[in-house]
Amino acid sequence: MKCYKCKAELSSSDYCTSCGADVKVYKKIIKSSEIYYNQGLAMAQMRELTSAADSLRHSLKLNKNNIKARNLLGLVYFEMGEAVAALSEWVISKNLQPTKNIADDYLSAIKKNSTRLDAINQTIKKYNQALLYAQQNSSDLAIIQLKKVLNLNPNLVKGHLLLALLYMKENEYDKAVKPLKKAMSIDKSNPLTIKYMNEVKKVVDVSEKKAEPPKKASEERKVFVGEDVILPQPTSYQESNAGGITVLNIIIGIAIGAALMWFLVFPAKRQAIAEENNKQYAEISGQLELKSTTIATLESDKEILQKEKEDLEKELSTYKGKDGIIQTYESMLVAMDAYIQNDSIKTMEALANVDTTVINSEDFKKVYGEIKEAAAQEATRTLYEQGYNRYRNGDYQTAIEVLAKAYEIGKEDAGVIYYLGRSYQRSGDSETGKKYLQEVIDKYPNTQYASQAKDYIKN
Amino acid sequence: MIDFEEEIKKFHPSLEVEEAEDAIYNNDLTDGIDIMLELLKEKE
Repeated sequence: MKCYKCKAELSSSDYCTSCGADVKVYKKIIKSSEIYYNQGLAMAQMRELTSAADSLRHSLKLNKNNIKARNLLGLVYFEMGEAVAALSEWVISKNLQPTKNIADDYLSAIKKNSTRLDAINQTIKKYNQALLYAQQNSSDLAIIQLKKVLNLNPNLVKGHLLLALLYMKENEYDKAVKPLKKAMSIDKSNPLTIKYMNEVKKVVDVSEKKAEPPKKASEERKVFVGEDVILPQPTSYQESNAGGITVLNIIIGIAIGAALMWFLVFPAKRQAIAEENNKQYAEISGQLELKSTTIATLESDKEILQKEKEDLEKELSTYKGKDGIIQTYESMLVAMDAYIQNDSIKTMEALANVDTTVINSEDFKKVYGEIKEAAAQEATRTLYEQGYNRYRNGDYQTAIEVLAKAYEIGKEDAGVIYYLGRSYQRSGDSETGKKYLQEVIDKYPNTQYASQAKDYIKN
Repeated sequence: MIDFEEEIKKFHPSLEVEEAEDAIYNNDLTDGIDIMLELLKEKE
């Protein structure tokens, strides 16, 4: 310790042995500054950086020339991600003690790596921009920006805290845990970190996440030792082989791209093709079903038409042929003409060709019945007379033909049946003759024809 | 419960590298020894 007045080395006395100045208070101030420095160093070793910074600032308030305290404060600032604050302390330190100052090494290390300095500056600009977004309630933009910042400067404690605060604002408390833990791993005594962590613990079970293995970098952080040389810890960003990292990033990017193509784009494409195929299949199936239905309908129509054709042909057949309606009407006309001409036999012959079953007209059937009734009686009588005359003349074969016609007309007449039977007997067909004679006996038993028939049957 | 509006006030923009020089020059480096010397000077 040197005298503030003459710069001579001081002894244990309260006065300067060189100039006689009272150094009692001076010594107390210097010692207090040292005590604060030791306190700051101890806290820095325990990674209680906020508390360490407070102690070191107290130390410097007592003695601005405490170079060890100032350099350590710069280092603490640097560790907290406050690069400009660190640079400021080291620059002041360098000015207060231009030689044999470790701050010189710190500054040289940063100046030599201009890329690192640019990166620090960019980080600060981005953080300030993120803070502006947050103040403007653009949380999404602020979060995105902060993630970029923390990627470049992972030790920026206030960046982690702002990110955690934004997550809490968005009620994403589980997401706030990670930046808070990161902030805690850098600085254990930051009051905001503790406050936010306590808030998060009310909502999220943080204890489970404590199982995560701490990062190797954190474990391997260099412990501050005494007043010896403390170099700023280069981050991975600073010390990395930029070319190698770039190539590695490109490869990882390509791999991620390929994976995305394989897991996202290709399945989506395959699904789109499958959907298109299914759509076409459905359309074709629909068309096939429609055609099948059309074919079935056409076949059904064909069957209906075929049946209609058969019905029409059947109906037509009732008009055509010997038993057709046309023929029936023609026969009826012939019968009516013969009836008008008083030719009862021809009338009955024509009526025999009339099929009343094919005619539904009641008038037709009525006329048919009246003509037949009138003509049948007359025809039977006329045919009987002709047959009887043939019988008397011995022409039994002709008599049989004529009397058979009279018999077929159906009008009950004992004479017709009797002479028909006798004609058969006389012609030599006794059996047929007996059959008709027996009919006369059965149907007309009390007549002369019956008694004569009995005699001829016996004979 | 965290009040975002109050908490956000606790965050301040960081000094950019270009602003470091001004920060250094404007830094109040007065310490306890300066005050002591001032007091001694006044006493004399």
